[in-house]
Amino acid sequence: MIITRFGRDYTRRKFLADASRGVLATGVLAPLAKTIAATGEVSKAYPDELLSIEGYTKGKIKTGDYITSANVEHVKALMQPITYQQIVKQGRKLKVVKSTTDVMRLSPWEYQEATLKNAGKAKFDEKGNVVNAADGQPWIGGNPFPDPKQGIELAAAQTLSWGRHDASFYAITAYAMRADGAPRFRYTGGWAELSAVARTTLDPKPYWPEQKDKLRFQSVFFLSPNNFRGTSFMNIWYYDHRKFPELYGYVADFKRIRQFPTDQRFEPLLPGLSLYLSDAWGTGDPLHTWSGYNIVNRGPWLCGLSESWAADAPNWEHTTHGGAQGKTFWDTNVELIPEAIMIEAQPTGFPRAPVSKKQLWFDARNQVLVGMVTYDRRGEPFRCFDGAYSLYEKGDQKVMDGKHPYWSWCHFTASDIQTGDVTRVEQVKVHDTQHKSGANDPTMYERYLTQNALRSLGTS
Amino acid sequence: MKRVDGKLRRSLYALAIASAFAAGPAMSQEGGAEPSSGGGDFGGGGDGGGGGGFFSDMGFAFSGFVRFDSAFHTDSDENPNNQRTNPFNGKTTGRSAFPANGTGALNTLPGVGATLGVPLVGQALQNAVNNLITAAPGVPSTATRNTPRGHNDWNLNQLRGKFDLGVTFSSNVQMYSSIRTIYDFGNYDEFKRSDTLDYAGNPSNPDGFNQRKVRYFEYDDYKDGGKSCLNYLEICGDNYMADFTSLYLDITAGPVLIRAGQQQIAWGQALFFRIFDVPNGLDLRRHLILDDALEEYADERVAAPGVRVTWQATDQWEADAYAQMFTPTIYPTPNTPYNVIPSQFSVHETWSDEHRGEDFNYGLRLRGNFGNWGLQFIATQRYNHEGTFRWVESGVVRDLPGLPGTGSIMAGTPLEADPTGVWSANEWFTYAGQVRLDGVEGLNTLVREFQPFTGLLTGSEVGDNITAAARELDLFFGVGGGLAALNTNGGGLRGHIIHEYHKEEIYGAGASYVVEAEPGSLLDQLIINVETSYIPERKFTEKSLSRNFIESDESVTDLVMEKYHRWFDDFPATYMVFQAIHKSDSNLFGQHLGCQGGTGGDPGTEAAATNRKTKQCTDEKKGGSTDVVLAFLQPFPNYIYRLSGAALLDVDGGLLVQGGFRWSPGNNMTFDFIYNYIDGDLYGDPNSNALQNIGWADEFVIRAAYQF
Repeated sequence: MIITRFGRDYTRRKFLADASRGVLATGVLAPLAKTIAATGEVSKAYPDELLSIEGYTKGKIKTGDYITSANVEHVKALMQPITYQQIVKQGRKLKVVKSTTDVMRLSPWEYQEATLKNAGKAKFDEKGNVVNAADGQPWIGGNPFPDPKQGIELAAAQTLSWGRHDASFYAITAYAMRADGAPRFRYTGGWAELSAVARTTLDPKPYWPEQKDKLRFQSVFFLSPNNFRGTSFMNIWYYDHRKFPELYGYVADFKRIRQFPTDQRFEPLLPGLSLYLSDAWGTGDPLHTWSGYNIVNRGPWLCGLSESWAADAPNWEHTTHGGAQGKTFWDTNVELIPEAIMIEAQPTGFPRAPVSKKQLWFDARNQVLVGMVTYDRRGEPFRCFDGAYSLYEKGDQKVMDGKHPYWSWCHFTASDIQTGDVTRVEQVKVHDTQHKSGANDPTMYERYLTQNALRSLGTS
Repeated sequence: MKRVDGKLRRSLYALAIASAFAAGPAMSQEGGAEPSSGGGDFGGGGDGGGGGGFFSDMGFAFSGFVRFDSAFHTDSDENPNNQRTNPFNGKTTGRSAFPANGTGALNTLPGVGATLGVPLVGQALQNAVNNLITAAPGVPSTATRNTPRGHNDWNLNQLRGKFDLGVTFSSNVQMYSSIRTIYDFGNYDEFKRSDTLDYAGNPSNPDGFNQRKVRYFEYDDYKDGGKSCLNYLEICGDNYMADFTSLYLDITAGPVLIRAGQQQIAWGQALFFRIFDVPNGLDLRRHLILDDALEEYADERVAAPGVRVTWQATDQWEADAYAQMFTPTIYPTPNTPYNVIPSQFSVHETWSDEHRGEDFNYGLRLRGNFGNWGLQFIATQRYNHEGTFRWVESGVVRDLPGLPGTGSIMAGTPLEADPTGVWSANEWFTYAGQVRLDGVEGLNTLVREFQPFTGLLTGSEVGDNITAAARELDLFFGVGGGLAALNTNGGGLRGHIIHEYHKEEIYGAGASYVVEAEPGSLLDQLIINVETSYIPERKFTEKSLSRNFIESDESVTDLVMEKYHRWFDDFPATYMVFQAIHKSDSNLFGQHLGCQGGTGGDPGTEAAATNRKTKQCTDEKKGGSTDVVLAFLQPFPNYIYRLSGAALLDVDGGLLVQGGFRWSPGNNMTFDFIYNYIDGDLYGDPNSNALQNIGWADEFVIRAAYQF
């Protein structure tokens, strides 16, 4: 039997009391940010019941067990309702792995280093943009608000750096699954993102001087099926979060690059996919095109944060289960997050958006996004997102990012709550030999993030 | 079957070898590689993988689709440009009456016989005609084209494939190829020589490779088909073609992209209207311009070997230059469903003999993006892809029926005696109006520019006297059909024209602006784009097919407004576009505006049922031509279905409406349903709007594709 000094009721009372006072103070036993800064890990900030699944469930579920319809009731509060329903009705299951307490394993090393180094240096300027308080210049790297006090600080940090690398390229495969469990579409392509500011690895840093007015360059392109091959879109984000990005696209049929209106961020990119540009990393739109960002809940949560890299698969393909054909859900490893913070935001810059609000869950330890639910204009739950991150190391197998193992997302699932359709997306090793997942490649800008790059990708 | 020439064939072999060479490493990377063990590192750049070297990333990617396209003909209108569907087939058409005053009266026929008494052949002809007139003075002549009238249920039944191969040598060097294959099942009322008989009951014998048999894709030398297909890197046969729409090497060097090889180049923001989209011509052999409007000219734009260099000079400015081998626009072949050149005429194509492998087009574009603003400037020197047409010596040594020895004279004229030609002045004027030519001046030019041969055949100019022109033409056509052999109701003189290409320069400027207004309003994120070009001394086909082409300075301007707007909560945004184009000197299809509104008819005869109006083309239309487009695309939730529509209005009275529906059920299948409705006679003179040219092409299209 596990004896805990502070029981579940204590934890719940603590979270509720903070919420009632409008206070966000992460950590239960001790301030989280100070604990991390002092020890590099989180154990001293949380009671035992929040540090292991055994502690939380009083031993009913153990590390290594699967959460299935038989035992999901014990952890129902740790997941989104649609995930619970999928486990109960569609055979979804989640494997529980050991909770990670070392924060350096929960983000790219350089990002976490910069977070610790630059703690307390950030502020919002009069325009609402995150700046370095000392000189009013754009942010200088890492998480600007590692000890968040408001919801907007969580959203701002997430918007500033999506993948937490200065540059990331993800070779992706997406599967659109019908509600009846049948696969409908399979797409392959690539996603590139490169920060112009807040750089911790790529020179010049912390800014790209010529592009200091930009936040990021981002593109997405498709390689298959054939009728979408070469189709691509590129966003150029301004640092000013009140401004919409510029949006250019290469439409294979047109054989040329065209400018597109940038406010259309709620349209399906491809048939069958429950994905919008707006969904990217939970913060696919400029920060101030949404508002609210109120903290509405806190508590423990389940999410994949480790052991999710499919190292043994040739192209890092993940395996599946569930649904009528056993193909609807990724095989997913999850772990107990001691504290997640849920915030809620409304789209104020998009009067005609099909979404009325979104709820975002962040891991309090490193402010990484661990879940999202969007609601339609009637206020009904619309789509739900969950996923898995990991360090890319398994035994003696590693993928290196500079001096440290690569950290990134591995897969995510977007569930259309209203139709039952599911979109599964995974990061794979490579597509078409040349498009390789990775980080901080200095050539990424010219390979994926210029109009020339789109033209070159636009094969026909 | 024709084959690509040797040099190009070697290129194909090189591609195959490269592909085979690439296959091994590719398989090892995609299919069999283990994750890095104990410290593999992909973080070092595009050449990454830790291995380095030119071939470190080598591999290939293969994809494509197979698609069946069918177009069901939805109305009774038939393409008048084909032998089987010539509206004069089986219809008795009046021709000018023989003079009533007997022998010698030929000289009294206005427009005929001005040179009589001089030519030997003219005298023989006069004698023959006089005999006829003596036998039947004052009796109107009639002509009835004896080709059985066809009726087509289908406009298109084609199986096509697209096979793409990408070979990666390194992150900076890649090769792409795309092969298009087409097989046309040809289940239309095809023309056969035996369908049309001469005065003696023998099958027609038109000169010209494509005139004697329906060949859907072969198109080069009119005489014998030539030694190659028209496109570079194409093989073709009667019912099939395969070509490389892409075969190029991409080399990226910092901000510079060099693309060398067979490629398409498209410029400009405007869709469908080709203001800046000037580098490539169009291959119209498969489905004319009637594919899904949202695909623009994806299947039509002609690829050609060339080099294109794009340089991102600054964050704002991009320079884009190309040099590309000139390849012309390719028109549908004679007697095929979408043929746009009347098949009574043989077109002598000059591209292969005079330009192939020798002439290049060049262009430079500067493009700047400044947030909501964009600027473009272009300058090109090119051969106009559409080219010009004029009369040309037929070279066909074939006697006029009953007039031995006339073959060598006929060879010096643009005429050829064959029942697949024109049978009456009525038919002549009808087609002249249809193709925007002047029937009277056409005759005068034919006579004037091919002396002494036309004079030897009693041809004479008639000034602007349409009655005289009709009588002379009726006599000629009658003679071509065996009048001298005492066949009064026969007909048939084919015309020969030559297709030539001319250099021109195009200068253009454009600006775009993205409107920022109240979020969610109709104006917010509206993209406004204006493009204008100026083409000094552009050459156009002269309205009489004279060798003295029209030369004028043309300007082309368009306005494009695009908008995505979400009308419904549950539906994705609707894409809407408005476009308007104004051309100062030509219509949408490049025909000069100097001869619009001719409606055919033969004032010297009884009116024919097919032509109730009688009018020659009007003077040059003032004010140019204007076309307007409204189009939309409405995806359904989750994009499984897509509804689209487009309307093209020629403000002079033509309308093309296209409705489309796409269903993407998954499993790599896609189905398209498209309806094309064309009204070339909405109002005004039907021959004054460009769409009248294809007013017969109403159809329902189904496309079923499987992608891999």
